[in-house]
Amino acid sequence: MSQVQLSLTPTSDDETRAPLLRVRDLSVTFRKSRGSISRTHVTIKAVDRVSFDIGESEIVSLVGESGSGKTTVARCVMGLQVASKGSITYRGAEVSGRKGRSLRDYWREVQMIYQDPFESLDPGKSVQNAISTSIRNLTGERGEEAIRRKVITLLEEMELDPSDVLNKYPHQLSGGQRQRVNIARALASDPNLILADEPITMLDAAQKMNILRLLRRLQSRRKLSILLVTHDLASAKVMSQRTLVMYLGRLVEVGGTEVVMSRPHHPYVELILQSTPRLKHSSEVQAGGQVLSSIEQSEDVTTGCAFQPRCKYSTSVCKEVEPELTEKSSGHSAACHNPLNTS
Amino acid sequence: MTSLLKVTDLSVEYRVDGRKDPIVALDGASIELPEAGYTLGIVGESGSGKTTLGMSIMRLIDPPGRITGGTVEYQGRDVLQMDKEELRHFRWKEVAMVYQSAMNSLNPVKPISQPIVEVLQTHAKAPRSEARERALQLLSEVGIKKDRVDDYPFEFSGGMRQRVVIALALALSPKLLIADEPTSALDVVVQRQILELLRREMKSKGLSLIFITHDISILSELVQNVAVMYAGEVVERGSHDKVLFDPLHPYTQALLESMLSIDSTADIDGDLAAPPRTALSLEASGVSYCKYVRSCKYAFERCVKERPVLKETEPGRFVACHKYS
Repeated sequence: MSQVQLSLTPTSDDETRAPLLRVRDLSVTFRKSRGSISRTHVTIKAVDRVSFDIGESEIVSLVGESGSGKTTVARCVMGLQVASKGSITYRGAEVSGRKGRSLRDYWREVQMIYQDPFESLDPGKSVQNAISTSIRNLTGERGEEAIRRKVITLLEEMELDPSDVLNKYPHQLSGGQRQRVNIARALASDPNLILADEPITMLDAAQKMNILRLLRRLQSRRKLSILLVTHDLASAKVMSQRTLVMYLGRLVEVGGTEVVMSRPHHPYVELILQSTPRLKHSSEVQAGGQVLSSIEQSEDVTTGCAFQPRCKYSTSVCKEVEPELTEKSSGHSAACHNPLNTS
Repeated sequence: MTSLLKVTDLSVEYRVDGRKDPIVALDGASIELPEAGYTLGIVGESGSGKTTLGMSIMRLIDPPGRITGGTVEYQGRDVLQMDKEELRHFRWKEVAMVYQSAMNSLNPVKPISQPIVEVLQTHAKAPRSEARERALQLLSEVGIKKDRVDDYPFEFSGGMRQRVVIALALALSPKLLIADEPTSALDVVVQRQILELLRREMKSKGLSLIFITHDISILSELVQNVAVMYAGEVVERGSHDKVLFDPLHPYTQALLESMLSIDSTADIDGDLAAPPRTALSLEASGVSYCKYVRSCKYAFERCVKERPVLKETEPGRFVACHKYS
């Protein structure tokens, strides 16, 4: 087996070159009550047997639409969500079950950037206060002067002017500036792995590229590993070497970003690629528009492939047998009975 | 010939408690839709005034907001001078609006067909049975089947609710639809379906459209013309292809260069031109310089001395920049 294959579909005895983060068969189920008088419970599989690795200084994108379970995966990795099954190991040590000091030690190395820069900063804390709190909590540093110096270095690294923003409160900052403060806070303990959950979704178009470029520069300077959780293929494309695509809790396609976007195996990936808006010259716009499978996900699919009701390539086997994620071309896997672009 | 809609030098300000100066949301903005069937995309960053422009056309600016200058003419009639009865006829029957996150504005305790039936009964004076029949037809046009029309909003996904809102806006067959970021909360596949729905409605009914968005890439399939807003002004306007493929205004150029797109070939690690600085449109109105001057790489003396106005450089193409005059 080649190295590429190993990193995509690793086996438990592959301990020779352990990745930074290893997620195996991660499942998360939620129990939801229905009805107020005769209460019944439904089990919802938010995440279903998800496995992947992240290597040292690697950027991996986790792509999916709302409700696909991508944020739940990130929250499990962060230790904020208890997994129902499966394991998550960081540098070979199990993440789940960590509490107190052990969890704090872990957070020194793994940090998360949240989606909404407007909600994730305390409105009553100045920028200086917000970042120094993180430094204090995560590194145990107590020297006021050392903390102040660290805050200034971090802000400069975020390409913010410390003298301008240090004493400002979140409402006085633009969305882009707030997200930079969030990133500074996440980097307070010099972590190795950053989980970036839709870091640019709430930002203005003109600011999106700036924040992605900043993340890329930080990644190469600090040799960071990043899990970029996003619904947007464009940011996955410009940022990451590898892309994982989730659909209703399952990984449906895994491979190098270039090849996933140019020759997708899974019909769902083809559908989101076709749906992604593109700037086009009016002569390139097709008069009739594209015909897309227009059915929205209706009810829970109990047997077969979860994407089958929306899939235009579906055959009888798709209704009966759930496809496993297997390699369809070199280093490129999909969970599909009728994969595209295989020749 | 009178234009379908002509907005000239429109200014709107908001008075905010505790602030001495009002916030200037619109500062002499002008757009024009010459004829029926004209489609215009309005792009700009948040705070550039694009939503305020849409609301002003509907005359929906409420205190502390105030229209301080300019005119809105619809088929030659001044919207800002209309009396209550004229306005009642103008809104919805002539011009309808789909608001940002409108899908969350449906009444949660009423079936989704109910608001459409009510609108038809009240405004079109249709008897109940006829109104219901028409409502079902409108809903089926946007892809909602008969067996679901008596379901409640919570039983629908965001995309389906957005369809209901579009059907509601089109209920009285308006001539112009103003859509303010109608897809920004939706997943790409659903977004694409809504855009296609809008495009089909435009075509089949000969509707005119003003589509307000910060996402340039969704305009191509939808509109033939584009206006770019910056700090409360329209700084460039023209055909879709000219404005987005051969932009004149330095702000439009910077906006396009910094755009994140799946086709983007720009090297994310390389040094791109500095992206535009977000202008907070808080500066007092009537400034005597170009508001973009601090971020502009072409700025020269005249730019700090004189405010550029929107000028026609070739038929149908307008730009507010001293570089071209």
